[in-house]
Amino acid sequence: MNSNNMDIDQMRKAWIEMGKALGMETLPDEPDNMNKKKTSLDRLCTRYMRGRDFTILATIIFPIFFFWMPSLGDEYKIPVAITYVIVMSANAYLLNWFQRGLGRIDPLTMPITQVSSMAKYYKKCHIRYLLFGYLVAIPWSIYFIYALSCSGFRSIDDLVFGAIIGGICGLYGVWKDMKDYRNLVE
Amino acid sequence: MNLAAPEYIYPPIAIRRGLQIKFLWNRLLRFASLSQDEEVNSSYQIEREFKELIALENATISRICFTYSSSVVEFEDLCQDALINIWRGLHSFRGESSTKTWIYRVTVNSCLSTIRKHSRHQYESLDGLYGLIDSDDSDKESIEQLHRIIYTLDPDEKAIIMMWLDELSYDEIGAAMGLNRNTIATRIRRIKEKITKEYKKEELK
Repeated sequence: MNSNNMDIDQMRKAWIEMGKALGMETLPDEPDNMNKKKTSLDRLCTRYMRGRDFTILATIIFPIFFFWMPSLGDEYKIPVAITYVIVMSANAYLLNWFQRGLGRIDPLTMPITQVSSMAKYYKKCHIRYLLFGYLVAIPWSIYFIYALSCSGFRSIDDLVFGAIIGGICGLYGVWKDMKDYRNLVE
Repeated sequence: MNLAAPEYIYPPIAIRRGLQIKFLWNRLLRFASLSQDEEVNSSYQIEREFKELIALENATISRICFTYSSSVVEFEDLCQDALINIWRGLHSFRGESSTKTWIYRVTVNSCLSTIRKHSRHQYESLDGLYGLIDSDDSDKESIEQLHRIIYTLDPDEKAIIMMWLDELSYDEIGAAMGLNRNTIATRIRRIKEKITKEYKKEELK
């Protein structure tokens, strides 16, 4: 017996043993409960949908607060509000795009290669979206702080401290997402 | 000559209306009871089919989910998702392909479409997962070795080699993958070469 056949025989034997060794772990719930359950894909779609709705709401509400903020100078109110609306609208559009795209994945009828390529594509897009999000959010926050400091906002030290903490959290997020992305690409 | 139309004797209007209402009511009751019975029968039948199918293909589902998992939590999630999808798809499964091919398609697709961040579990040791294997030491070792080797393949390659190990024909694998027979044959040959190399590496260790 050559080594190739031996490997294949070993593999088939191990494959059959694997089924025997694991078989009883997946006993289903009562079928009535199965109707109520959601898959991870369903939950992810719901999360995107909620994110989109929240973003739309925030896009409408927060610019009103910017105009009411006494500490934000008049010359900064409009640029801050406009940049905020642009960023948040783009975010809502992307979340909607993700939700619709993932909703198109049908594990029941699609061939495996199609599901695999779609899943890989959306994973990559999601990580790029997060990285791009940090790249946009950090400069906008800096601009917002700058606008407040130019308007003579008194507790600017607190704001800078908050921004440093936020920046560290953001950088940690970037690092984690980069790690995920590297794994995905590999 | 009397040209007047013959006089028919109609029941009084109230009785006619009553008879019509009764007839419609009976039809409605019959329809309701029939459809209810049919629905109940059909749902019992699907429940029974689902339980039988899972009892029959339990090992296959577990193997697929195990191969795509890197931790116990992930394994449990993948099994759960696969069962939900099988349950949902059973109503529309018409037996156009073999049950095994269909199970493969749904379970692998379900594993592949589980898009989430793995940061919490991905880097966890595989020892926890291997703790699930309830077998003799020698078998356990060979199962672990097989998992380690298959785990290094990309998702499509994993699906192909799993179906090949389960002795599905090239046509069946092609139908599940959405690829033609020749492509499947070529890919299986390449995957086998890769696996043989990995086996040799493992044995050298």
